[in-house]
Amino acid sequence: MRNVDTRFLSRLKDHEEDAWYELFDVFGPALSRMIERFGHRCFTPDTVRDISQETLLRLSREIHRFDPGRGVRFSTWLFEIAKHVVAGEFAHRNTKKRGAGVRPGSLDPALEPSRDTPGPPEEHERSVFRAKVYRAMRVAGERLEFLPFEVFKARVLRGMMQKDIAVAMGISEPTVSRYLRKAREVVRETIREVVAEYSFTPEELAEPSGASLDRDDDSFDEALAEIHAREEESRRGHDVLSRTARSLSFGRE
Amino acid sequence: MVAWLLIPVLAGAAVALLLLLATRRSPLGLLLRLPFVLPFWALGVLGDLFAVPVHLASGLLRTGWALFMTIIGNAPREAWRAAGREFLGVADAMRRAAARLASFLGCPEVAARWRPRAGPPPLPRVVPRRGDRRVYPFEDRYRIEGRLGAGGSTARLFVVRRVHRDRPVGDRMVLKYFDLGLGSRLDELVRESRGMQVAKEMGIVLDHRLEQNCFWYVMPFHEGETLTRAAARVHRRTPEGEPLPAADVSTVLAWMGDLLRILDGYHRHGVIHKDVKPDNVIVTADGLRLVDLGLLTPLASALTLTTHGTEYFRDPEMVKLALKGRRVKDVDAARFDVYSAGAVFFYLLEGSFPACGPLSRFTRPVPMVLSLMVSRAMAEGTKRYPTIAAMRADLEEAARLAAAEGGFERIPASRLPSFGGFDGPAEGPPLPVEAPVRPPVLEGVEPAEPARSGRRRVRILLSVLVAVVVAANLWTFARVRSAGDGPAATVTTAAALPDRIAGTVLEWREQVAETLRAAGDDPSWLRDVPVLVVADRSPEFERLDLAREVRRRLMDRRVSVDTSAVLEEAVRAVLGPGATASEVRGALGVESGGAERPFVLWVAGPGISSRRVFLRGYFRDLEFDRELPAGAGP
Repeated sequence: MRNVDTRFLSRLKDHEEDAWYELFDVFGPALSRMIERFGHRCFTPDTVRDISQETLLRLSREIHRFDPGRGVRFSTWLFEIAKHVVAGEFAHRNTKKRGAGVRPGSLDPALEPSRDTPGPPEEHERSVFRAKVYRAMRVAGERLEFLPFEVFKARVLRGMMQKDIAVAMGISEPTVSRYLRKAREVVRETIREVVAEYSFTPEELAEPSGASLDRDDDSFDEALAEIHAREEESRRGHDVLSRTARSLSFGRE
Repeated sequence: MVAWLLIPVLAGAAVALLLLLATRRSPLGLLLRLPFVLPFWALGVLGDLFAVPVHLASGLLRTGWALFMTIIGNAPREAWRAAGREFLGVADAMRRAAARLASFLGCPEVAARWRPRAGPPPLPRVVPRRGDRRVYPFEDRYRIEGRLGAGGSTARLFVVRRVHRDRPVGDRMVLKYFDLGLGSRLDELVRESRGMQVAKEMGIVLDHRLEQNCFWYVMPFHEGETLTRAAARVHRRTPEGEPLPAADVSTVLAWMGDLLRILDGYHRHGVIHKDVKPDNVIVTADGLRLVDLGLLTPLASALTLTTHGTEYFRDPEMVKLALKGRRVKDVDAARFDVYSAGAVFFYLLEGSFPACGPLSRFTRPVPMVLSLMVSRAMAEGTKRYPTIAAMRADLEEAARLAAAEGGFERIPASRLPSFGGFDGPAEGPPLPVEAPVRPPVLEGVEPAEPARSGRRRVRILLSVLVAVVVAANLWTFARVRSAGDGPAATVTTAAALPDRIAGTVLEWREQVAETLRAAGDDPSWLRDVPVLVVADRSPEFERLDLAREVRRRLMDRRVSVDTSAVLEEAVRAVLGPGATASEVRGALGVESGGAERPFVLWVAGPGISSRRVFLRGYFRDLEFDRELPAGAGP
């Protein structure tokens, strides 16, 4: 097994504020969707946000107790802690109804899942992987110049042909081709880096190849477009649900 | 038996076929849908035609009322506007009837041309106050006419009119009222009050007041609908996945141009809005209006950045910087509004929020020249537009070229002034000479520097740093020398203070006197002043009672307000190193009253270089064992 103590884990262990923000920025939306599912729409968007933050906070606080040598996936780890926090929230609500106090449950089993621990639903794992790829695209956007990345976006996200991009941008076709080559190279490299940073098991590291992200240019573009479209759709759907829930909860008030 | 079973199937198929044919744009389709559509169409047209005399009569009545109000001298601008709206309603009803007819005859293009773009703007929700006997402190000046939803804050929003001779007069206004006794928090009051003076100069706040436990301000009341609704109406007209018609794109660009002009004005006055989103933009008959000043922040504010804002329209970089505890004045805060403007532009073109930030896709075909502007506004780091003015230059140039060439699709993005970036045109064709991108000259605020290459920027920063350090040393040396020569050196209070305060005390003693003389005030009272304090913003000090008192006095004088923990430091210095926290708090007047002593607070912070502010206030319960000597005053 590779050395799984990634740079990201070290940063979390050092309590770097940036690392916590990164954790929330990258996995927050996926986590919120999962918590919403746990809550069966019992939670208002504010509660979902609170539980997401609580989950990630616990994760970053207890990071020194995490042993990546067990070969547990990052998504499983997130899932277990979120499950624990959600269970705590339900317990708190129930005891509140009875007018009694609540005793917090132990976080230990959630922090120390083993290989045999049943993993999260497949959709959650996929959404965590999509979050990694999305993060990689954003990092690549920061690394690349403005125009090459815009050309890449036009080709991959909008599905435009090179010739059309050249006409719309007012640059030559060889320049478009050069920009695309450069951008693809950077995006591929960034995906490799980001996936390695947030992955603890060989299966997670192999996920990009499973999603056709290590194939030829056309397959790569297609796979990336697909992942991005799913991620965007999921974020948009999540927000629409949140807004609906918000308006319902306001209505109750 | 089989025949009986076949009958409903065949009948269903026949109905489906008829329905299919009826939906087609052909004479047959028209004929088939005639019996269904005709009654509704006739009712619609009759309704529209009936609306014409109704609007006409209503317009005449309102005109008469407005005339009467004018004669009795009640400044009825709103009454005249209402009359005008009724007459516009006549034209709209006729246009609507024509559009209905065209739509019925299967000419959607003609119908779209005739359909009124925006009907008379609906009035916002005004809930009359019933059974609420509370008397608000502003009711001697403003009469409450209704209440609005307050959004996310703990404030109460009232629709008010000014009171003159015990009668409401003039236009309707919105009054935002915070009360500590009604659940408002002190930090909210501080946040809302910090940009008031600038907002008043800009005309977006008409009046404001800070009292013992409450704070309120008055803004103009804009009748209209939110940009969210207006954009939704535009997008409803066009099916998903199809490009917006040219007329709608022009509308969107006009809105965007208006918004950028407003934001440019904010930045020129040295403030950022920080919560730009379609819900905070009102589309009125006179153009767009940006509302909700809850997060208005001076660009030169020394307060720490906060993460307040609206998801999807808030710059992620701002959140990062806020979590790092950076102060507003240490970052280029105007760029946060640029991001939000880009997100709003995305919303207007797409009809939905940018769920993936700068990576969000357009599902409608959007001309590259426009999508590139959205990307540039939402880009990270130095790739973003450095100022709103640069974005505005792009928008205006694109609109000009589109008018000349007959559509945005025909303009290559390379003709945008920003295409080559802001370091000069490294790639692509040269920038057009007639539309140079220049950052605006901000009054009293350092203009945002255009993006520079890394090394050059580091060199400039280092040079500036060295120059500042050398100048500061020279200045301190000169002050110490002059302090040793003149009577100022005997100011024992100043000597007891930490160095950075003492130096300023010595310098400011004279400047205070000069300014007071220039203002026609007698500066002799300065002789009895026990301490001069340099202050800047600090959250610790914001919590002290004295801060509110100081702010109230400053608000009365219509100046910006800044307070500081330096004051506490100064008090500690005066009381001695052994002073306990409660003694310091007591000296600042938090825990006890007592005899009041005059002091001068120098308020530093936004705009202080151009507008020096002095306050004759009171230290409560503070005993000074070292007074200024008689000769040390001005």
